[in-house]
Amino acid sequence: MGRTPGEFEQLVLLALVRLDEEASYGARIKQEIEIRSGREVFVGAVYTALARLEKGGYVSSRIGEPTAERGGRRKKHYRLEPEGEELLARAYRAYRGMTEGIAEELDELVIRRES
Amino acid sequence: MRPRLPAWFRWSLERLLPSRDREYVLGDLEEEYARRLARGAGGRSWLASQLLRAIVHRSRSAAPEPGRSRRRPSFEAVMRDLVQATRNLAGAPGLTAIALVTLALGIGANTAIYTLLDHALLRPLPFPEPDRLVRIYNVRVAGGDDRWNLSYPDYADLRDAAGTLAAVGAWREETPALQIGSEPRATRVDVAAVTADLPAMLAMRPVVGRGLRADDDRIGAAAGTAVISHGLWQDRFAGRESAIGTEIRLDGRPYEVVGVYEEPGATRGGGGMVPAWDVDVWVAYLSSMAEEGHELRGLSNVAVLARMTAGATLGDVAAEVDSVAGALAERYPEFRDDETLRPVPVDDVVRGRSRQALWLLYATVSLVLAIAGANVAHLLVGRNLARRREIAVRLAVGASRWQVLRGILAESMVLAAGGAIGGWAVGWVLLRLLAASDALLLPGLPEAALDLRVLAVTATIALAVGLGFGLVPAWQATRRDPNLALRHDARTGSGSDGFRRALTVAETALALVLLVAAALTLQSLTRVLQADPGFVADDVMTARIQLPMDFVSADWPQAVELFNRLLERLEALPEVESAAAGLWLPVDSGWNNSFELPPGVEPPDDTSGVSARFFPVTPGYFETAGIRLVSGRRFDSTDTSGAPGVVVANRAFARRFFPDREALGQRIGCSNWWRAFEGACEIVGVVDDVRFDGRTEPAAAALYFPHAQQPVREMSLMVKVRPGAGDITARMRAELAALDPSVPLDGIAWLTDLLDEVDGPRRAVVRLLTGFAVLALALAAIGVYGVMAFLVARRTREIGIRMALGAGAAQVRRSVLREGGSLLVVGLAIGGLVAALLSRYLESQLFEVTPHDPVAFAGAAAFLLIVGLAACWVPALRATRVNPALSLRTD
Repeated sequence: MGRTPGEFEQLVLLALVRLDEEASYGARIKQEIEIRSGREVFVGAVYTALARLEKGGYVSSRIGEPTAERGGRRKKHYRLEPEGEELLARAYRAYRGMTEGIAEELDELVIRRES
Repeated sequence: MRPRLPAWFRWSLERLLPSRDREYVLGDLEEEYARRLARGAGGRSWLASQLLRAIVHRSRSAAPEPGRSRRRPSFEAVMRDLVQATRNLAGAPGLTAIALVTLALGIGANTAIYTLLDHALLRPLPFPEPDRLVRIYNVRVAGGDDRWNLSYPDYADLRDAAGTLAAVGAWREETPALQIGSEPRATRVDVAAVTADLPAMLAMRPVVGRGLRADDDRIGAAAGTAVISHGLWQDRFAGRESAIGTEIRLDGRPYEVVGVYEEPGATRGGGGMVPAWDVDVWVAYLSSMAEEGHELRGLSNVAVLARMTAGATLGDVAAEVDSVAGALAERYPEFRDDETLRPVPVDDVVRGRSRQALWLLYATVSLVLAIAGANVAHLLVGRNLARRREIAVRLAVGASRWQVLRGILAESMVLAAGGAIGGWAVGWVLLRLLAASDALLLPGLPEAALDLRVLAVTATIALAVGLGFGLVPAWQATRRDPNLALRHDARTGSGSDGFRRALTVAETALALVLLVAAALTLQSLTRVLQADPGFVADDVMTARIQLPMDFVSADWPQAVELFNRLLERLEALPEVESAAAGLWLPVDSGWNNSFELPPGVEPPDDTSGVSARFFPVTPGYFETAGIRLVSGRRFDSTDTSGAPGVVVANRAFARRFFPDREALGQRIGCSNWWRAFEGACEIVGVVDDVRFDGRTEPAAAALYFPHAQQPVREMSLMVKVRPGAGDITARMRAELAALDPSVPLDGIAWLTDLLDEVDGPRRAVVRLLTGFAVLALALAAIGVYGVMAFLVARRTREIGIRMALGAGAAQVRRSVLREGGSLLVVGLAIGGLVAALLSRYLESQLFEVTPHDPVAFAGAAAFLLIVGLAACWVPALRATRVNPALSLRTD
């Protein structure tokens, strides 16, 4: 399998790792990404990415119960599948290798960008 | 109460989200909305931003690209597309050149002609409230297209009686000799004698001094009143204020210059339909040379222009002038027995004649543009088809359909832009050529400049045509399963095959329509040029002589004497065969004058009245002009002023007024003319008809008079020289100067040239039409060639097989020609039908040629067929060169 996840897909996969299954639905994933990465995200984009990942077998979904809070609508929960884990692992390994030993310089870049 | 997302928001999001995500996304948004509101954060702006995000997301995810971040079509991307498109086009220089030239020609021709049309027909005339201005004409009570001017007394009566006309003005144009102050030098100028209200109608204002006034326009002023034009003021008076008050003489008659009129806004007026703008001197009618004969009710030499009152319609005016005419007919039955008055809007009068020719030209260039568009479509379709493999590969590798289409669009746009630039150049050149040729005689033509607006419109049309045809197969190509396209399959794209064939048939049909139109008008022109004008124009030099006023006395003997002696001297010259003079040349239309039929003879009860063209001539007139004598005798030296009055009639006259008896010997009453004869005038001869109004018009009834009996101050000279004698202008001037140095010789021209001028507009139309038809033919031939080459290329395999199986080269060639020929024949059939339907619109331009003339149709069809087959020839040859072995391996 030679596929690498897109940048946004990576963010979604990482969020899935962090969140437990109950919390792994659109709004919460989006919230995680926004808070941690500083990126503004439209929730629909999250679902689009998840749909693609699901199509490739990297994640799976289950539909939850409707709630009054959501106007009577249901939630869709996602979980990482082994293929997804492997996908993420490869990406992370690559990233870790590439960033080994240059953490300071990278931090510098971030600071400079934010100022 | 739990706050909910507003209905408008929900509705919008539902439209934007894919169905599978709707429920979940909206649920998430509800959650977040509730949380924000609970926090006290703003709701509406958040909703708006979420909606915006949804829209952006939707546009991005139109073409999902796994693993790649999507880019919005940015400005850089568009520029890149255009640059790439230009490179692609440059890579196929032949095709690009053909497309550009085709577009440029089609767009340019269209733009030029449309600009002409706009200027000549659509813009308002340069007068104040031009739609309230009308010309008043005499017409036959019974109807018909004949119309002519009024006499001064009739005009005066109309002016006084008409309530629906706010102002009624009249004018006459003359060309006297101008002398300033006491200088003897005389030059010919254009003069308009106008009644007092005419300058106001045309909004003419003085820049110096004053304009003409009502009290200038009366009989008996010692000197007439003149207002000169701005041009003359600059030329002859150096623009000095002292010009006011100087005395000038026109043909010896004195006038006082009282003012200078401002330069007119337009340089070309209606060519005599409305007073010409290039008049040099304006004089008050009754105190000028025009007052001569103004009391004659039968002398119709005054043009009438009127302004309708506000609120009056053309119908109101028509009814009123008709009743005025009726009242006049009752009072003066001998002058107005069969005539009435009719108003014609000035716009019709000025533009009517050229209108048809212009619309015809516009239809022609539209067809050319259609053919050009079809050709470009051909090229684009072929191009896209040839690239369908490339397109399929790009699609398979992940390009979005939109990206591929954008590339094709970019190419079409680059082509259209190039074609528009080329079209601008072509249009500019064409317009200059048309303006310079002067043959179309349209008001305002020299100022016609290329209209950017028009250019934009035609370029857009061309672009739309090309795009439309280019995109359709491209759309299909990008939709198909890429695998299919990747396989080499001769059957694929048969839809576009038929499309291209249909285009070719259409082009052929259109080209045939144009060729038929050209053939018909060409035939017409030939007939016109062959038509017998009724006289012999070869080797006749003409000139105009106008005697000054002091030649004139009660009996005019000096005028007669001068002309006689001049002719004698001219005939004595060795180069001259014969010389004569007449009030008008055989090419001029002349005036009508009414007369009385002999007692007992009934006037004809058709649409005309008892009047005829009126021609004082010297005895040698008929011989010099080669007008044949049919019966009786010509004038001779016995027909002097004291002798009994005689006339010579033409055959049209005899046919009209004496259809069932001999015209010779009849005595007609001429109380209406300058020299009224007691006991009337006897018809002593009948001559052949001369077509005064051009070779295409039927001959009008005419009466010729001996100049000695009906002398005039102004005559046209005709000098027939021996063949090869050359230009005797100098000799003519010398002979005249010897007799009287103060009389200039004007307007020298060969009679053949004058005759040609009459046909000038017709020639121009034929030339243009033929030019466009040839262009259309060339474009159609290119189209046919393109299609046949394409079809042959696609069939290389099939041809290879046939040749391998033993088909000869000749057979293969024939089959290709047959295929091309069948396309052509279908096109010809359709084109022939369309041409037959449309050709009746050409009728006004045709002379002695029916709109369905079989020779023209057959000729045009044959020509097109030959050219079309020739265009198939090269592909046919190529087909035979196909190496069977190679072609079978093609894949």
